[in-house]
Amino acid sequence: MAFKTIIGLILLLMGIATISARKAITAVIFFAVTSTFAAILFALYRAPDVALAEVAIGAAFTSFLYLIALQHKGKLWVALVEVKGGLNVLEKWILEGFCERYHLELKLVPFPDISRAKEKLNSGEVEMIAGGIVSTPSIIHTVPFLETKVLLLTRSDKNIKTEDLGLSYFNTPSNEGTDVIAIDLMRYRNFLLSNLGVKVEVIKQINGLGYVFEVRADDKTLLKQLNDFILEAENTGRLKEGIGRFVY
Amino acid sequence: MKYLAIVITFIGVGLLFAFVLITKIPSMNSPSAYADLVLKEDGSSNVVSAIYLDYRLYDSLFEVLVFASAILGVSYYISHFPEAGEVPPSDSKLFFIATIAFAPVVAVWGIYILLTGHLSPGGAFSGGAIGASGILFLALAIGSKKTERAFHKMHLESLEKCALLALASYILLGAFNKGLFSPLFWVGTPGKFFSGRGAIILNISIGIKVFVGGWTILYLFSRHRESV
Repeated sequence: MAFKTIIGLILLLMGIATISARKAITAVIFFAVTSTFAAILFALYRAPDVALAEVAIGAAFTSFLYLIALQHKGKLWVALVEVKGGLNVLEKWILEGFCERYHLELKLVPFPDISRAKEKLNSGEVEMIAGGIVSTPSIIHTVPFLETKVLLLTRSDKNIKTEDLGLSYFNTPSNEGTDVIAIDLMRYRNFLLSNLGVKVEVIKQINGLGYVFEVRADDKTLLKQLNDFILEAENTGRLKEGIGRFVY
Repeated sequence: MKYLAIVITFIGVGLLFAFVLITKIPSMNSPSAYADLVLKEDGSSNVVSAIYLDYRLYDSLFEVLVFASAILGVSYYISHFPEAGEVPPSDSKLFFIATIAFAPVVAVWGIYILLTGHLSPGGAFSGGAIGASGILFLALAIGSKKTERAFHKMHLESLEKCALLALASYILLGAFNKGLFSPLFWVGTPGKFFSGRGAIILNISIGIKVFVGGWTILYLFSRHRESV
């Protein structure tokens, strides 16, 4: 058969293969091949302008367009415990910088309290927890990015609600009825701003703690990457800039 | 505001109809008459270029308008999709060096094809598309943010609007000149660069439009890409 007929039949076969491909990337590659064969056919039929345009647009331009549009990025699932004020914004800023550095997509899942976030961390649905986590020795955490203290308060007025979201971070339901509340600095500030005129007494201050991110015990690579990133941000002064912008 | 747009649309359509009724476009009886006519009247070596830049210039105008409205539509509708960030510079050194060596060659070759559309196969549309592919290689190497900034600094979007204006004014001036689109001294000898009536100016205008429009589409598609 003539050469043109053979090329025409191959073009038809490639077109059918483009439609019946399973994955999107396979279809894009077959599309580029179809376009090239069409350009060959145009050149054989003595239409060089059209052939040039077809090669430029079909095989190069459109294929690259689709390949860029179908890029996949790895995801980082983070449970965010909600704290009113600038602390969440600061943490989101740090995490966004981290994800840009490691070419990931940030997926924040908000939680109202810490216990449900810890459940999700243990079950593997999220990879880390952020949101005013204080660096106690019982959790696996990164280096701290912001200093804080923990205050132990007594309340003189029994009508203060502890169910107020984010009021007390360390309290578990077992010491709900006692008079001592342990609270970190940011939440204490929010508490004072929202309950003006309430009398509380500071019994004790625990210094030298910091806000951190919590990761799982077996996730050593993520821990190392986060530590490297936070230390680098501290050394270049970017961390201080962020703290000045968002928190104070 | 909505009524103003509708009124302007109707006025535009009315003007278009008036334009069509007034101008007289000569038509050939047989296609083979083009070959001699191009050498005498037009002066370009590429008969296809002479046809779409001189005898059927109104069709090229509508092609450019369709292209422009396609870009407008894409840039409006794609803003409803979530953004996924810029294309980062490539991580592997091999890819970086290969594309950064390759990209200017492809872009300059595209401009060459654009400029010599009246001498050899090529022209505005293919040249603009090849140039846009070259810029795409550059964007894959150094990241799309830097490329977009370079385009912004060169004010290429304003240049695109000027190109459309140049095209429209060229066609309108020609229509009032009884269909003779440019003065006769541009005819020149076939084979030399300065020939082919308005081919150089038109190729540059349409080519700029296709080039910048192609980069706009690439940039929008890359910003709103899917990430699973």
